[in-house]
Amino acid sequence: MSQIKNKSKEFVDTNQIDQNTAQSHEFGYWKSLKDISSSEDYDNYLKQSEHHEDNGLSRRNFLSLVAASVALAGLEGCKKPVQKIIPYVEAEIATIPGIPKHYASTMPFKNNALGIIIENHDERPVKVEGNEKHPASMGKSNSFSQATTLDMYDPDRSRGVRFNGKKVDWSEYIKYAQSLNSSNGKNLAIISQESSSPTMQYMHSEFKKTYPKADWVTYEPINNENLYKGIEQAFGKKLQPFNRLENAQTILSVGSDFLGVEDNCVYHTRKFAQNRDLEDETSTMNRLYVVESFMTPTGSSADHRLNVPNHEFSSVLKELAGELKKLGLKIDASPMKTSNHLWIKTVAEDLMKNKGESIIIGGSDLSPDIHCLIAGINSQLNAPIDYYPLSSSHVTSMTDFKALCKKMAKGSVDNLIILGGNPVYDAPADCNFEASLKKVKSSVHLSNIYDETSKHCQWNIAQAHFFETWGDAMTYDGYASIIQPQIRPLFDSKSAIQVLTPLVFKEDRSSYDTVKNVWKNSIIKETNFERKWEKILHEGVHVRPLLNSQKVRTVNKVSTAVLSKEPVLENNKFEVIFAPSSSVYDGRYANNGWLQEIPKPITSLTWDNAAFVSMKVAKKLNIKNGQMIEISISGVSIKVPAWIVPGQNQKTITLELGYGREFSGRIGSGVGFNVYPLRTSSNMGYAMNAEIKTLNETYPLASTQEHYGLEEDKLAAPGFSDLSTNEVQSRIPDLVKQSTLEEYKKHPEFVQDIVESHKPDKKRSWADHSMYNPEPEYDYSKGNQWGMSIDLTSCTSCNACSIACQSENNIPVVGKQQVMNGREMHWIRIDNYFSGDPDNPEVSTQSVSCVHCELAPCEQVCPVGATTHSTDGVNQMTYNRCLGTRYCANNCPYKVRKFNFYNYTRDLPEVVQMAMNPDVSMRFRGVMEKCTYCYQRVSEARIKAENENRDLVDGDIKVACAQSCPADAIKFGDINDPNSEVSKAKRRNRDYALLGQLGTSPRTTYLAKIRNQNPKLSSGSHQGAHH
Amino acid sequence: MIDHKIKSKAEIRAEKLLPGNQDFTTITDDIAGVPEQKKTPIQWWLLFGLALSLLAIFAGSVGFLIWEGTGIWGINNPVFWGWAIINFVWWVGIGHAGTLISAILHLFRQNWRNAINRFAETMTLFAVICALVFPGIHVGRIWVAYWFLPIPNQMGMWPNMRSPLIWDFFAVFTYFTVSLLFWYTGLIPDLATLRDRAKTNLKRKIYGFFALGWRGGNRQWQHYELAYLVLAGISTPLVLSVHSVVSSDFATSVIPGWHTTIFPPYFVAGAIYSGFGMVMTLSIIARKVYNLGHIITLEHLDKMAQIMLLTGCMVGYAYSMEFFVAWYSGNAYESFAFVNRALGPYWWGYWAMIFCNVVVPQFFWFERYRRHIPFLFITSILVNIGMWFERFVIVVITLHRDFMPGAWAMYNPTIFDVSIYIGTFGLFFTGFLLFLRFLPMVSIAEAKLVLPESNPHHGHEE
Repeated sequence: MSQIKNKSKEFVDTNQIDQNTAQSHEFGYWKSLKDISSSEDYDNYLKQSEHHEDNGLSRRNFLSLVAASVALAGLEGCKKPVQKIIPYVEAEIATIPGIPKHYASTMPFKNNALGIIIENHDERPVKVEGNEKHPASMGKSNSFSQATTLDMYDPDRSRGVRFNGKKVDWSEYIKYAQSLNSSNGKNLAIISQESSSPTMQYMHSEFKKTYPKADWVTYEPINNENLYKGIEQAFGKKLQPFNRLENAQTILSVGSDFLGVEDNCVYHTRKFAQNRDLEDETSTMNRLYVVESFMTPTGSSADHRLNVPNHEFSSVLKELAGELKKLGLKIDASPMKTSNHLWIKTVAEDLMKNKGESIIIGGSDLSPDIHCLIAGINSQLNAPIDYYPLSSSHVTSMTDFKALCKKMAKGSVDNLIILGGNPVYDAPADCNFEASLKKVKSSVHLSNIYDETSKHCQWNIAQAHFFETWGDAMTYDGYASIIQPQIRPLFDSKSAIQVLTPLVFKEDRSSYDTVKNVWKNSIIKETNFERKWEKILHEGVHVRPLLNSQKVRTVNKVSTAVLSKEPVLENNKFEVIFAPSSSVYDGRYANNGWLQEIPKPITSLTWDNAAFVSMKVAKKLNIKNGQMIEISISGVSIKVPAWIVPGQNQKTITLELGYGREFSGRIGSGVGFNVYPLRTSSNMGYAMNAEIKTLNETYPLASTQEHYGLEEDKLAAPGFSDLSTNEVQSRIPDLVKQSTLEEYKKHPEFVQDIVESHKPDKKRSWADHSMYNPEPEYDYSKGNQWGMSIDLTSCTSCNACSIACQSENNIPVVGKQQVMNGREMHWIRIDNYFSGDPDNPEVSTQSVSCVHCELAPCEQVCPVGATTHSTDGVNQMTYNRCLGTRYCANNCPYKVRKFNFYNYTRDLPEVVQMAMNPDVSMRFRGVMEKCTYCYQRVSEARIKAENENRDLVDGDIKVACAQSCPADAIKFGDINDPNSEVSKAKRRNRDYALLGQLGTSPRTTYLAKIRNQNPKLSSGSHQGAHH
Repeated sequence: MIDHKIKSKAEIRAEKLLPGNQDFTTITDDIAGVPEQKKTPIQWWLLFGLALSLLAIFAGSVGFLIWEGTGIWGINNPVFWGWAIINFVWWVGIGHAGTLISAILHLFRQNWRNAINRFAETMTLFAVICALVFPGIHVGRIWVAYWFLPIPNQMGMWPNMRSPLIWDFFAVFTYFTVSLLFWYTGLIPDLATLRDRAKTNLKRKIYGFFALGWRGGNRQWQHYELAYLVLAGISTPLVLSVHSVVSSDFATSVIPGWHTTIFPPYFVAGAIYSGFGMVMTLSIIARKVYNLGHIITLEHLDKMAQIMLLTGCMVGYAYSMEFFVAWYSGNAYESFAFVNRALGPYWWGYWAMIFCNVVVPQFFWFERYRRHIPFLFITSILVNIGMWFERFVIVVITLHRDFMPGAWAMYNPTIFDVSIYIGTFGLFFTGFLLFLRFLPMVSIAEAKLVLPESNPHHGHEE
């Protein structure tokens, strides 16, 4: 906490923002009624009132005036957008206080789009959900989209327009922009972020028309350039591949974290999980093979994982190509036999067996030649991939970017406009972007925060969050949708479209007009445009795709000769991988507390990045968790703390990008370590031959899970350092029940196979176990009884549920120090257990939150009855009544209760308070909290149903976690309704209660994890084999 | 001349318990002389100053705790209870010796208790006060801690009588009330003695007020003895109940390592054990400082050492039985809870407990050690350290690794855990030193009971 406070002080110094004015009315955000009373609106209102009531101020008039002022104050706070936007479900536009409204919109992410529904409370967007009608979302979302609400209300966001640090009016910028049109844009350059927006596309071409000599460069530090190049090499043109995973039975991922942070992960996860939804032992499921060098959510979901360093991927593919050739594919490859031969041979056979339904997915940072080979093999395999045209204007080109940097360095760029992004921080080290930028005479930076790049630019324009502005975006397969503003810009911010407007149109134009015109003139070219437009706004997507999948020529002769020579790793040197962070991505989410604090998949680290090293390397180099190491690549070195990760390749070190930001507001500044200095344009994915030096200093890292066999066990009694490791190993089968598909077919009831004495007696009801209630207080066979089912087979530990829960339930961010103390507040904890070979372990992931025991140990022990049971079977927490003995949490076998050790919400900035869900109370210090089954949503749905005079039906209630889960692993509903999704799930023979032997009768049950292992590989003798 | 007088049993006993030529007068003078001292000894001031400083630390730490929240402690998820609860159980345990000595030994007519019972009872009172501080301050919202109480209120709230914390609250409060009454009843004749000997008017008035008009008449003594006996009868079950109920805070839970039926007797034995340890420590200091070696004799210390040996063996048996049952149950979670105690990251805590509580008292099989004062002193302190570790083992080691390895964590106490614990010594000793200064530390009336002349059948025994 104090850490954050200190940060905020630093930030004020560096950000040139006068904190007093920052929150005052002038920025459109009111602090108190006093502010409002001095506002112009109020004056106008008074005048108006006087106009109507010129016969003096009677008592009655006075009262109505007071009431109106208060109402006005409310209205002023809720910044209803001026243009007409269309709510998603409700027909009427009128606002009923307290009733949330839902609007469809789109979250643009690089050159992709995710359709979302935004829940608005009193015209204030507070929660993001997936849009069922949108093809990339299908009603689901990911952690970035869930956390974006907090970005919107980030108190550190830039405000208005500044020129040389001085606040100026927007019109000043317009004047400046209009002055740029001399000499056809010579010496003018634009750096934009990747985008799929048709409007930006239009702006781009218009810009090119006006300024033919100007440069427009697109740059993202994490991009698909290599993928597109490889496809160009294979098919002759740059195309966007779209993996139709719903049609894939055998999937081979080569270094691709397609279920994690790679593009289109929501779609990928949804479709991947769809083929793993096992009804019973007769169902079939897809099989995932993963070749990777460090453990990712994809690798942890794999049925078989091969652990090889990135630079050896090409030889794996060569060998695979050789095997595929043997099996009849037209590939020019020579057979090879390495130690991974059995694994590769088996994969090849599986790929061939499911030809037409098998697919190879390459990681976006692989080199173009590997992508070319993969594309060729995929084409021969008749893989379910659609290729879509790619508008090159909005994807990264490193060549162009480097050329521009050179030009800038030469001083031949006079005016540079940077539309979002933070190249000073994230550009490859060899581009010397910072030095080049200093040579530019006049530069404009559009950014959400005053960041590393803003510091070097004359013009700083506050970037609008996509909740605040009109825009559009398109999925890879061409489904365009509109970004509807939910709220008027809080901080006088502008979108990229608006910044370009004065350049392109020579005048200021609202983004609404610009977007609408583009849609009118080039997208919905129909007569009833207005109706169509409203329908698209309402549904959140234009149902007719703008792109058609391209027929690509079948690559008849695929050759491994395209592969360039594999780099050689020198002795005692390492391959260093630059991986996008699942929390801050490339650094853009650094100031988002929710994302900073979410425990990362696999490592459970929060608030920092680290150099991931394998257990063996750690032992060899005497590295402990948190030990600082120095990584040097060709003369450049950085110091990073190390973190030992199971499944990490011995030849590799993984570094997460996006940390160590210097200017990222109160949350993100100084968090973690900047690894960009090591990354050059020639090694964007990974770098070879890094030297590692173990330093004699340590750095505290905050992880939310104990690391078995490591630090804690060193403290164990002499000679017993594997005590807990062994214990955890023996518990995994009991906690995360699992089997292989083959075994499951033989023993469909395997989840029941537990020690007889531990079996809960099914004939006895829960009440018989109780000392207190020989007669049950409630009849749980009547009415709505809520329950949940979580399918461990499809869960990929992506964290979407946990952040959705945080957003829905106002869960506080507690800071690194508190996390290190074990006081993180997330209601959903994702446990990771590793078993088997530490170099290539089997991962068992389990998301655990309150399981709502019918016979809850917590309820019995609360001295003041603050936690009780509802008649619909929910274990409730009455915050007002809790006095904080914490006995309930001690007695919870699942340890899912979270305690407010401090008043974590007291210092919440006023702007952040706007991100809080008004349906859920904020918790004070000293009270316990935990999952409520989103009871506010249950109540909302029940009240609605009562008003409509009907019973609740399945699907009326979507709890936040289930709603967001891209794998659709979480089902919630009425367990008394035999046809509800959750009842169906609970009837499956994989259903089991976590720690069921305790007799707690939990309402949340799990579906056992099934791994679809290939019998040929499950012998256990091979490196890649699981057992 | 040969003294032909054969000593009666009572005389022999009196010889042992009150050696030297002591009679009613010398005993009264010796004991009442301490609070009657004109000049407060410098040692007392030093100790009182130290105690007050500790009390100031206590007050400061508690103030900060109330201001900031329980986050200043090292507690976390999953170790939601830390030093506060350890200290609570520890102090309650120490508070056990008082009632045991006063009530049970009284009922068994163990007259050797008479030299130490006042001491022990006072210790009990202040120990229970120290203990009662913790349930109050360890809660998250201290300002509503009164919700524990069954007070009818407009909010329609009522405590959950199923919660062991409520049982706990009642048990400890009952114990405190009865102990206070018992202590006060025992004090009445002595207060009257002090009143009668008082040199100043003020003293006479104050002592007189609390003496409730005691004149030492036959009828008064008769009523007094009966009342004392009744109170002893009421207190006796409390000795067994308080710590049994405290143990149910743990035993009624589902947590492996807590969920055991052995807890009530084991806790009671442990409580008596630590209580005697504390009485031993205090009485060795007091007899030294106030030269009361002839009243609190080696015989008394020997007897206490014997009880410590007994209770020490009982807790030792409980420790081994826990392990046996954990293994015999075949319950993996239960087994690990105990293996983790002995071999996990906090193994030193477990072995400190075993050493202090089980190994050290074994020396008491030998009379030599039972009467060796420095040895007794060190042992008594070790026993209290050991008993503190026992509660550490139960609270922290159990909680830090329970069912779900995903929620396992280490627990690190903070400076405030330590300062509040140390601070309670300030609270304890401030009270105790005031007692030493103003009240007779040994029951004057009861100490005399072992003298032959106080026996109504003097010379005609049996």
